[in-house]
Amino acid sequence: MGRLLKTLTALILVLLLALPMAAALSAPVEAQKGPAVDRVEWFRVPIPDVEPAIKAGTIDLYIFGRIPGDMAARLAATPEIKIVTAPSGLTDIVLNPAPVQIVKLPGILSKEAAALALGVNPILVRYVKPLPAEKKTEVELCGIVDLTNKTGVEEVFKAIKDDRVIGFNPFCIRELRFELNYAFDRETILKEIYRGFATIKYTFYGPDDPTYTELADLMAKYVFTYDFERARRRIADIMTSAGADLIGGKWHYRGQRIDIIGIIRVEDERLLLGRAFALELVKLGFNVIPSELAFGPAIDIVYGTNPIDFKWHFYTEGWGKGVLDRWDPGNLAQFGADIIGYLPGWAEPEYWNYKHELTIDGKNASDYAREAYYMLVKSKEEWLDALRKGTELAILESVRIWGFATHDKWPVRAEVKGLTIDLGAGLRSPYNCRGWYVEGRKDIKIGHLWVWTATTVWNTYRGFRDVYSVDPARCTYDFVVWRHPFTGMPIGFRVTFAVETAGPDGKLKVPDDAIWWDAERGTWVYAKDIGRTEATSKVVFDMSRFLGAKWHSGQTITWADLLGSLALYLDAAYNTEKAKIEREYATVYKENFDTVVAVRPVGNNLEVYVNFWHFEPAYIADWATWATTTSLPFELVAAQDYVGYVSKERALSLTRARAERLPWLSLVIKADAELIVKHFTEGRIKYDDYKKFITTPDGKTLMTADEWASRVRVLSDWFTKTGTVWISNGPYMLTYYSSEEQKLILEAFRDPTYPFGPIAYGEATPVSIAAVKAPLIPVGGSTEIIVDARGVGDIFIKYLIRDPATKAVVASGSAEKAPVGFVIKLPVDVTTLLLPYTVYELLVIAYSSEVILPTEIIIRIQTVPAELIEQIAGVGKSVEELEERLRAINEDLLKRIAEVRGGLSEELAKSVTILTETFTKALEGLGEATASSIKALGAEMGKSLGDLKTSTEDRISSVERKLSTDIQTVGGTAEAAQSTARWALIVSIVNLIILLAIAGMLFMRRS
Amino acid sequence: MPLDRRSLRVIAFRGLTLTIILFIILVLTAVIMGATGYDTVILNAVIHEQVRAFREELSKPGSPYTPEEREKMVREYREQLLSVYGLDKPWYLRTMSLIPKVLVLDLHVTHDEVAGVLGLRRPLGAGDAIAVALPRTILMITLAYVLSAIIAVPLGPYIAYKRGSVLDKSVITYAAITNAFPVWWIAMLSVFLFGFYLGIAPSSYRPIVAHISRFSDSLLSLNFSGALTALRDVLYFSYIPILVVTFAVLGGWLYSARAVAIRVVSEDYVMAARAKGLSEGTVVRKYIIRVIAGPILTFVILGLAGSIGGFIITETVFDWPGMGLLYYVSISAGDSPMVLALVYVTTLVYLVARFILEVLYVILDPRVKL
Repeated sequence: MGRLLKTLTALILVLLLALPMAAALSAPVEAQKGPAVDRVEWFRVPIPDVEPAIKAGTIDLYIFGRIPGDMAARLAATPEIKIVTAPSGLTDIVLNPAPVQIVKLPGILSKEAAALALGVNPILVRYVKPLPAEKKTEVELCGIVDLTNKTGVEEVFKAIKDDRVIGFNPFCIRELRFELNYAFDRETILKEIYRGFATIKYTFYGPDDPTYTELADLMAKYVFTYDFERARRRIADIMTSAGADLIGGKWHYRGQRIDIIGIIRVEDERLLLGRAFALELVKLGFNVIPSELAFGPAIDIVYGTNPIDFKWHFYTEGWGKGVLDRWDPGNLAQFGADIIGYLPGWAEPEYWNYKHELTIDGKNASDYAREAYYMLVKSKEEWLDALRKGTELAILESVRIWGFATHDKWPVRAEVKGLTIDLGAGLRSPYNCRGWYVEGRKDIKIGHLWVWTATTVWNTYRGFRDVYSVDPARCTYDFVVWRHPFTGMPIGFRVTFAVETAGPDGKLKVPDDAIWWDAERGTWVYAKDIGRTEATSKVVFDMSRFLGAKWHSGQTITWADLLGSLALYLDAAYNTEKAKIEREYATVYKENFDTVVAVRPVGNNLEVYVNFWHFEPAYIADWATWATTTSLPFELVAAQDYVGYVSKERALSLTRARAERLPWLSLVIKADAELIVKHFTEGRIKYDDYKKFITTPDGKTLMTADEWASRVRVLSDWFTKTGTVWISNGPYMLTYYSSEEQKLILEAFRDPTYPFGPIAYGEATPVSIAAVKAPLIPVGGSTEIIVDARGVGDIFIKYLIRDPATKAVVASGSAEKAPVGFVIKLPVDVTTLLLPYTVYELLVIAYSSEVILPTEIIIRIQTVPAELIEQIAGVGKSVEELEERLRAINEDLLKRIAEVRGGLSEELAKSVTILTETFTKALEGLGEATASSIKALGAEMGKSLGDLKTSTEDRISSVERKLSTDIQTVGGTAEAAQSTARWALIVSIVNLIILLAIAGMLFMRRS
Repeated sequence: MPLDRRSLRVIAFRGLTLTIILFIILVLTAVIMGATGYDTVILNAVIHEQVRAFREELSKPGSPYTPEEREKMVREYREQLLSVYGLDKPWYLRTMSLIPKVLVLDLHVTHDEVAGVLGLRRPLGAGDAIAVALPRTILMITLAYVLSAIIAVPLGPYIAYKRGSVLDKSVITYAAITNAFPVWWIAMLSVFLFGFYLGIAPSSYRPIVAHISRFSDSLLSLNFSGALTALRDVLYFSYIPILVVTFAVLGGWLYSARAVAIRVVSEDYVMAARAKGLSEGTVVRKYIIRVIAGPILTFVILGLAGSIGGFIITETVFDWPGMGLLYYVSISAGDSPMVLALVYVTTLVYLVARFILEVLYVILDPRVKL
């Protein structure tokens, strides 16, 4: 017993020991921390070498997206290469809308009144500006007006170029500018010049913008399909009304030929695009003087001269595009309003500046843009309303003729996996370096146009001004908040956040223990002590994934890093002495910091109080990241502060670098890194000097002197090992950087405290529209259209119905989700807006919560009067009833035939049985002698029976024939009825066609 | 051989003439850059772009600045930039003041692209920029010229002497082919062939810059093993460019040397020498080589001097930032000080070479007169 007990005990012990081991062995291997590959080689590949380099496998992908379209097309046709594209730029033609003459008229006059006073067509009057103080009106004119005998008219300005009066500027006339939209053959340019690597845009918003989903119905009104004849006709009308004459195929004004100077950029596709536009102008009757110029001379003329000097009339503009942004008012603010100074005149005080001609509800495009851009609204609805109205006004004013969203084209070898095809940033998305890999390899080779240029600078004050520094650096540090690659919404990257807001007008109380850096006193203070007691919103960032994790050098990330760095950046913005040294930094960052009220570290959370409101809370969180500084350890921010402000050996900004002839500090350049390490090791960057930045108002110091010393040692070792002092906390460590060799190496950071493994979002699956089932639309009746749309996440369907000729939107709305698909319900009040016997365009726009960029489909729908639909339905119903009756008769007859046939067979069988029985009995009673007689009788009887059978069968056949004839008769009658019904339907359709034809002819005649 | 007074006077006069030419060239370059407004246009464009970017940054949502405040800051920023780029002064003050400074190369690169193309950053002296670019060009172009000269100088006269032979015909064909194809085209082919497809040479030559620096740093710090390693890398990265340029220019050199020699070979006095029964060696040495030495020397010296200007496109193809690229970027960026410095250096080298030739002429042939 005792032995058994011992054995059992031993067994239990063995099991107890073995279990955890077995559990460990059977547990899944813990996911690898850090990125998918161990090493990234990142080096320069000039554009002409990209094709052979990627084909030969010298690089796995090329991260500079501006390769020529021809090369991209060739590479796309190569099986081992794929081309990733994303909208990355915008191309438009900006027109010079300046007047050629400005006069002052007595009195406060309207446009029409001013035209009347001057004796000209109102179309010549571009803008009137009341001058109440002078009791006069300033009038801008698109054509010179002879002022002789015009009493009281004062000429303020007359355009003169090369001692010659400029008589007329056609692009000054708004209506003419608008019509030019129709004279721009975007389809052909897309196909022939951009080789498909672009998206047509009719205005600054388009299907490449997430915000487009809210503006689609507006955009649908302004689809400027190439219609040269329309443009020619209307422009001719406008020119004639304005007093111009077409002489020898060229427009003249008061005997002077109208010349158009086109500035066409030569570096890219804009050269051919500009030539195509110039050609259209020539066809319209304008004398075009093209001037094909590179960046410098073109910029100098267009943005460097006053528009009323008329050194240019049109210019082929190109713009870069930022990240995908769900709610983006930037396009309107930039291209349709005067906020950033991008309207002709460029906000230069000494230049003539464009003034809006149109208003909606008394506000112009810039007013609406300001409301949307600066969030001067109270709700999302107001914001959208402002955006829509501003956009529509800008389209109508057409200072820019929009062309394309150009696509960046990134070639990637097919075996590269783990990518995130960001709908805005494409391959440049920072998610990519976290996920990219090639099966079976531990490294990856990345080509870029440059790794280093003279303006490629890695410093966290005013560095990172180009893609060559930004792209690799983003692989070395983690963001607090970043944009979702498919929706453009701000999402927590290495944090989670919670937002509380008091709304656009409300205020939240800032807690008493919230703190702020007081640059005047040079210390952290309680925010309440400097009057910071209220804020619009509060964002709580959970910083657990930063705090306690490691820097690449192995040091732990602490509050000293987060708060100390913030204090240094705030000091640079608000410390007046520092602001004098680095004016550029102070001006720009003060603007951002001014909206941050206070911060409050609580546990691992950082509360940020901001005076910022947005209807989307995630945007408030995004804004609050100004107070989160996580990319460098505190001592490195201090080092930048030292060499920038104390020893003044390096400039932190480009402007200062140039003004003072100082090198622009870059932490990856050996000379700068060496300088910093030297200052640390020789004791010039001292703990005591920087202690105040890490000492909170309660007197607590967040980093000890020993810790500082330890960090300095580690920094020195890091420099010895890598030649740089770039230490961060992201998935890769920068272990080699050579500006001369144009090469850098990133090695995976696989510390157990690093929170992430490889990250890859893959490719977005936009909503696909499989089918749209649209019946005839009854005008005055209700109907439903079924949309079969598929995609990931919640799907949203919007629709609009527009006149295909005028593009006027008649109805718009959203579809409802139903078991049969998405149902577009068109109630009576909507269908009554439609004309009967008319074809309309139904535009269906689909997007999802997971992929914001929309999918569009246009189908044609036919309207008919509701009564006709009822008639057709009535005929159909009658035919159905008739068919039903016929079916019933048929079934009845067949049943009866079967019954008759069954009855007769039964009777016959019975008679045969009786006769057989009788015969058998008779046979039994007769002798052999009578057998022959009986046999004869039998034969006779057999014959009789045979006759009986034949006669019975004949009777049955006769009945069957009769029944068949009856059925045929009934069938014939039914067919006749059916035929009549078909004829009725055909006649109705023919009627309908005739009516449509008549309506079409009438419409064409009207047109 | 001591020079007489007359020869010295001749040489001095030639030196003075060349100095005046140098000065005129510098003035003309400065005038072209300044008076035509070429650099102003480019600088203005740069300022416009920087101001626009600045204004955009100041106009972000949430900005606390009023439009007036913003415009004031933009104005100040623009003024700062105008001063930085020197556009607050008239062109003649800006560019003509550069001439005396250029003589001692006391000028600075004013554009980032110019510094960047060399792998350097500003502030950067024009002399430093040239000091970095020049060895790279010498390594590729001048060395190739030297190799060509070494081959062509003896071989040219030899094939002239063997006129009509297979070798002669081959050289003529080779010269015609290499003249027909531009160097940069052969360079492109070689990068694709040897770099990308055969893999026996680099596909990117940019690292040569780092290896040259490493080599010179190692030498300066007397680290000879490091210098040797760096030299090996330099050779690996430079053998294809040197061979390509040599291959491309050798044909022309051979043909020229042959052409110079062929005229002499068929001269009457050469035939007379042969008729006198002199040995072929004596005829070649005394009657041919001595006569053609002058023209060939001129050709070689001026060729070598001219080589330091670099090959713009070939340097671009090899991504080899030497004097050619430096020239191109300086002109396209409108970097007047750098353009002046480059013009000064290349002209100076050329004129010094000319002067040396002039001296040699005077020494070799005292009959040379002004």
